[in-house]
Amino acid sequence: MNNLLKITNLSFKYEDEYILKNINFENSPGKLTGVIGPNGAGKSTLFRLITGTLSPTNGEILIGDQNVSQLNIKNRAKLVSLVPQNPEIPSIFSVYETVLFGRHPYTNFLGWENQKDLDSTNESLKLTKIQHLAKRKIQTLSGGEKQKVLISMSVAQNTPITLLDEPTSNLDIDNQILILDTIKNLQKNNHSFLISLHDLNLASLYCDELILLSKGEIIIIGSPKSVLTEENIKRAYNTEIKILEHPLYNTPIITPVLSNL
Amino acid sequence: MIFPWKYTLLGLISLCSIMIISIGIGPVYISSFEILQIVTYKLQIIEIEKSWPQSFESIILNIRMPRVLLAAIVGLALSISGASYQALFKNPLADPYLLGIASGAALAVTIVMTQFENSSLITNLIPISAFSGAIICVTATYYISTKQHGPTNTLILSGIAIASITQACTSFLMLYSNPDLRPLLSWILGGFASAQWDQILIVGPYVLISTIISISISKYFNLIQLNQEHSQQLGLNTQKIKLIIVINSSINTAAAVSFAGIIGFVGLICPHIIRNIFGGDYRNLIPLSGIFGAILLVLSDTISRTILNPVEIPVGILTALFGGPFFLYLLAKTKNKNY
Repeated sequence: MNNLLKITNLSFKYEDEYILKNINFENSPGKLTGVIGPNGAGKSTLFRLITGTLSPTNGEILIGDQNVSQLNIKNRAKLVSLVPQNPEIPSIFSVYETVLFGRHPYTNFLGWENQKDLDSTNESLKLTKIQHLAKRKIQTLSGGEKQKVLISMSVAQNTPITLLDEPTSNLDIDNQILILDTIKNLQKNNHSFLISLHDLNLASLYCDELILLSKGEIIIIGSPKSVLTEENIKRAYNTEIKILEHPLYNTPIITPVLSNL
Repeated sequence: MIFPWKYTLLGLISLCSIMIISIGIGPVYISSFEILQIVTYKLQIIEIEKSWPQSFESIILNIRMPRVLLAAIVGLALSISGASYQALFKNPLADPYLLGIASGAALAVTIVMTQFENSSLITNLIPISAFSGAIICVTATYYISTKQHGPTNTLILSGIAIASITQACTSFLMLYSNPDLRPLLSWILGGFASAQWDQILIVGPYVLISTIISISISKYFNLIQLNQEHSQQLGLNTQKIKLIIVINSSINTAAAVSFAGIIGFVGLICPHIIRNIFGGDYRNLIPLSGIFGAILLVLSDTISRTILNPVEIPVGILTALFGGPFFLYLLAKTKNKNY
């Protein structure tokens, strides 16, 4: 199949300063692509440009054959969904009501759903394995469960590509694995994910491909093995690390080198 | 989906029953059966032999029916605009009275009533001026609270400040423009003592259209509870929706204030109780709060005109007496709570 997401010569300038410079990459269906890089590298800006919240200064973003910045807000929501980093889910809604929000792009002009939307919502709950939580209020859920609800909402949105902005931040290791396993599982349905992660070891374990960003520019794109090298990490993060090999999966493991010990 | 037909129907039946009982209550008691007979006779639905005194017709049709109907309309309007402002500001303490919107509308109406006393256009000018006052105050309250970047209650504090300023201006205007303050004062304290059919004919269409719009867009009220970027990402034009909600709710508030004065806390209490029973989905909350608001205000008005008979308490005093403590209770309960 053709490229799903194609970003060409993308730049974004804010108050005379380039936040992103000359970004180019392509992503095919069914891939889990990690976007890594230090704080301020431009990961969130890149996501906002792909979702159309920001407009590029130069370049274009195509999803399929459609230019994101030329689509209206509802059609854009049918192509790309977002699991935000700091979501505000009102605690008064149930899990079912929250996941149902994901069907909004397909509803009529008053936003009311039909039977197909209800069926899709049930299907999303099933795919993300949270049917048993459907009637629970958001305020009663743990951090990991809330994150799964958000992922379920994006599944209900039924877009070919989903962006996840730091979905494992503030979660314990068990919940981090639970969330990434859920995403990996959804990937089997030929669904593409772009995920920004701070934890390089999780990125190494779960992602098919990594994009390393620093100061608004792509340093390297490739498999975790080719991206996570001592040289690349030193260049992006300006810190010393050592690379080991995961004993079970042969993926790179990053260990820091402490400077004053 | 998912409109609460069953509960709406049940609510409407309860509302109609309470209205009929309320029409019957007063210095002269008239039974519900007689009320139904008189209405049926007047509407000429079926042939009925007249078996009641002529005075009953006059009491029901000219005095009590417009009064009870206006109370229901105002209760509906205040409650729906309360729920709408709560959705808009993501704040369960929002209420047209506490945000200063009702006071702004009242100031604008006072200006019209004192400056155009003898104009024949005054009845039509009142709702328009009330709407202008409401819009100016909601904009001011929102602007001040967002400039502060403070906690959620900054919104309420800004509203209270705006309400104090507008109430002071209203009092000043009243003192200096009319030697006989009683009609203005009685209006500002909130009540239905001077309810007439022509007021209902003016206010009714505003509230009806505004209510239909609120119910129609109630799904969007849910979506704007997410943060703005997230709801835009779901395909919602949040700016447009927020503008529609502000204008629509201000029309509702203005319509209520125009002929019933300032009746506080109805917009706070009703959505809160309905939310506790039926949950936070605004598709339930908007219609059911509206019906509950109508019921509450018809009951409050019935109490206010009968409890100290023959003296009548303005219904605004009664709702403030019960609503004030309720507000304090909510304030304590919602501290640090994410709605």
